[in-house]
Amino acid sequence: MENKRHSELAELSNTSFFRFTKNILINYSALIIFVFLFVFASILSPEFLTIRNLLNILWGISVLGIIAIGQTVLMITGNFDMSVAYIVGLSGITTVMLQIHGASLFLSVAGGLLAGIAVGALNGLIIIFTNANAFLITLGTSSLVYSINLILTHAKTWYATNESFLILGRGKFHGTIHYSVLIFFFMALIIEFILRNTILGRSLFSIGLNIKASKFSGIKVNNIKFGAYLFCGFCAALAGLVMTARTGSTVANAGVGLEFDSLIVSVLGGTSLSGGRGGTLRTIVGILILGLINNLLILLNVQYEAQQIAKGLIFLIVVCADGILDTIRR
Amino acid sequence: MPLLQMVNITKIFPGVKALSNVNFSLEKGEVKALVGENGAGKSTLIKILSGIYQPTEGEIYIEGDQVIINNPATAQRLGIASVHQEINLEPYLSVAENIFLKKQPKNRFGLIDYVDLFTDASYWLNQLGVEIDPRKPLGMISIAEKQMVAIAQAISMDSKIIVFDEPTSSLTQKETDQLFNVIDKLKEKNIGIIYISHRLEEIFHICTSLTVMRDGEVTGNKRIDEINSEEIIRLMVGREMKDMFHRTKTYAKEPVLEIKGLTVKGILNDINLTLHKGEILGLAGLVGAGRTELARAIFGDLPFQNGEILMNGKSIKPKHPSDSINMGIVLIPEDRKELGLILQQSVEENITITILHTLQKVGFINKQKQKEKAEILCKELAIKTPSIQQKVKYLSGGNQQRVVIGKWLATIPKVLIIDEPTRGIDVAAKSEIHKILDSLASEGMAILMISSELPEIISMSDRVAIMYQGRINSLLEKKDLSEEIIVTFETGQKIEINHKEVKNGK
Repeated sequence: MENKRHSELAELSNTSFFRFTKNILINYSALIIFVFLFVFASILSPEFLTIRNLLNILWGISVLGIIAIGQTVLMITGNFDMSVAYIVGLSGITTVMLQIHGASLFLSVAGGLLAGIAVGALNGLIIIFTNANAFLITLGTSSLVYSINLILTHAKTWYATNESFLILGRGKFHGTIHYSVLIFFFMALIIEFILRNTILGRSLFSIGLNIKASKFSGIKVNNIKFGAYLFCGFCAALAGLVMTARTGSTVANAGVGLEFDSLIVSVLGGTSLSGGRGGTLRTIVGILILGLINNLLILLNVQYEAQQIAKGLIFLIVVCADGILDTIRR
Repeated sequence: MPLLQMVNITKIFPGVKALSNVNFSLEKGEVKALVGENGAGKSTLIKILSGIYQPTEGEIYIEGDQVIINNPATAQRLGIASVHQEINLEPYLSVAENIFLKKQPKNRFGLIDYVDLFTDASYWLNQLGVEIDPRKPLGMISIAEKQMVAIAQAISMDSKIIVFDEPTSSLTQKETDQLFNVIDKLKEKNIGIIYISHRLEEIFHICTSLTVMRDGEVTGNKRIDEINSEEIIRLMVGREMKDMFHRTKTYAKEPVLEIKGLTVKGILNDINLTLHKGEILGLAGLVGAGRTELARAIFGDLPFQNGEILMNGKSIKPKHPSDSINMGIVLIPEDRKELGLILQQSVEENITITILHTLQKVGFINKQKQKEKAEILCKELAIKTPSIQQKVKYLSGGNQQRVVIGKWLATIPKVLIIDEPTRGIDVAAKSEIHKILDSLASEGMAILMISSELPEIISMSDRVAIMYQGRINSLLEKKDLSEEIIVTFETGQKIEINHKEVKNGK
């Protein structure tokens, strides 16, 4: 029964027209949805298509975007990091605390980033040496990091006062576009270039598609997997700094929800949950879609509950679509 | 009336005729051995009997009634049970629960009746004359005891036919004797037994008759007292050799890779081998004899406890495949799809994955160079593909194998280990692969070729090492090779008979 369905599908996919349409739909679906939504939003709300609003959308998504870059790289190898949300909190807290205790700007930022990288290292080591499920392990470390955050902050809000630090979140390039947006786009471009043009990039994809064959081909799979976890921790920590600098304050659960959001936008852009496919340019498209929908719902004064419903539905649809596409591809 | 009759069974897989007009019968209380080389069709026949495969043609009769066995559940209902090497039992349940895995006794509330469960379990275990505590979790008993549990399960369901597939491969001598006692008891109960084994002395000990298969056909049906082991081996071998390959050059006496006393606990035992420049050393042996494990140990994919590996006289310690590749040792694995290729990637990406470091500058891949290199390799190996951008999953088996060979040749290795080079590819592609291997050896590459196909081993090898239960059982020169001798060593037969044979060869 199953086999028959597969063979029919295979037969159908042999016709060139079907293949062409299928390729367009699979490879550019996110872009098509984005364009459609953009036009739709412009018609629906007069405030949407203003420079101010568009720049606000970009500013709004930049924190999530920076996290999603790390998450995308990790997902390409077939791994996940669900602890990014609390790394966001941890890096902000570490930095603010260091500043309060008189550390220099450089030292405090380095401290925040290192805290995130350390959590990434912990995740990577556990997963590589135990071969346990990445999703659950990182949920576990996530809970540990949250408790560290709570202990460090005594469950209180802490304020960042260093003016130069706040520029990271609030400053604008020539008074127009936020630095954080530029950081996000710049990182996405660099990473995309690395993914497509370097040995490292090729190895990341190979590992995601077939880790055993990659190892047999001489790729040091564990080192690369470990590196991907470090990078994901770094990205989350950087996002935490941006967020802290934007709001001027931080709490233990500052990034809550961002772990799922970073997964959604990566998958929405076309990065596969089972590894081996995707890219950070795709993730930009995914994140723009999510930002657009959020913005539109706010502009249209939709209630918060309805916004959450929309987000939940998007998550489900995207994950289902990924599963279906994955069976077609294999 | 025979208990089981399989009449004119033919099974065709896409491109391969696995069985052709096979007739097989079994009487009540008979213990019938089913023997043949790897790939002779034994397991296909058994899978048809157990409802896993459907025959393309042919009929099956049980006690004279024609039956159609379209799934394993039907086979079970008809009284056909099998005891495998990997036993299908639940490690966390008790022995008793496992015996009644398929029909637990229930009390009037519909819950499992544990009082009955344990007494019934003891009853069936007693029937077999074995002492196992039915309350013990299955995971805590030995492999031999697990087999007994599987047998108890079979007889508790009134099985009429029990298939034993290599049951003694991991048993000690004492456990084997106990198994034979149990088989004798089953015989008394008029159960028909099909006994698959490579160990001929066992067959003479326990079986009453045998059926020999070769290339999907039955080549002999004999009572056990009218046949000897030479005769069995003669019936097993002798496949068509006419289109086989002839080597063009012989090897130099210059050692490239030396393996001394290599031991992996429980898998490989004191392996000594020397591989020379330009030599194809065939590695024969049954599945499970340790051939693939030896290859993996040399390739740095399986850690070894004792022994050393010398490359051009220097001791090496590969810890990861990348170490071996850097030293010029590569392994072309048997499992193309899982280990050899990344199916969803293109020919270009697959064939260059091992040599990216030669196509780069500070980590950046030179795409133009990569394309040129891929095209050269495709041409050299005559890989038929619409373009180098084609995903390898769309290529034929033969072309996929060429891509695997290509990606390793690209590294210009000094030692090539190749595991089952022509498994699952058609005849024409096979001889092409053989040509490639021959020309590589002629150019001076040292090749260790693992193969289960005796014609391939004999025609391609300069020397043949035969493995048996994790050891090198014998090392033969080309002039001494024959299928009979290889099978004799592969099945762990006594060496004395064969020394004579080897001498005659000289």
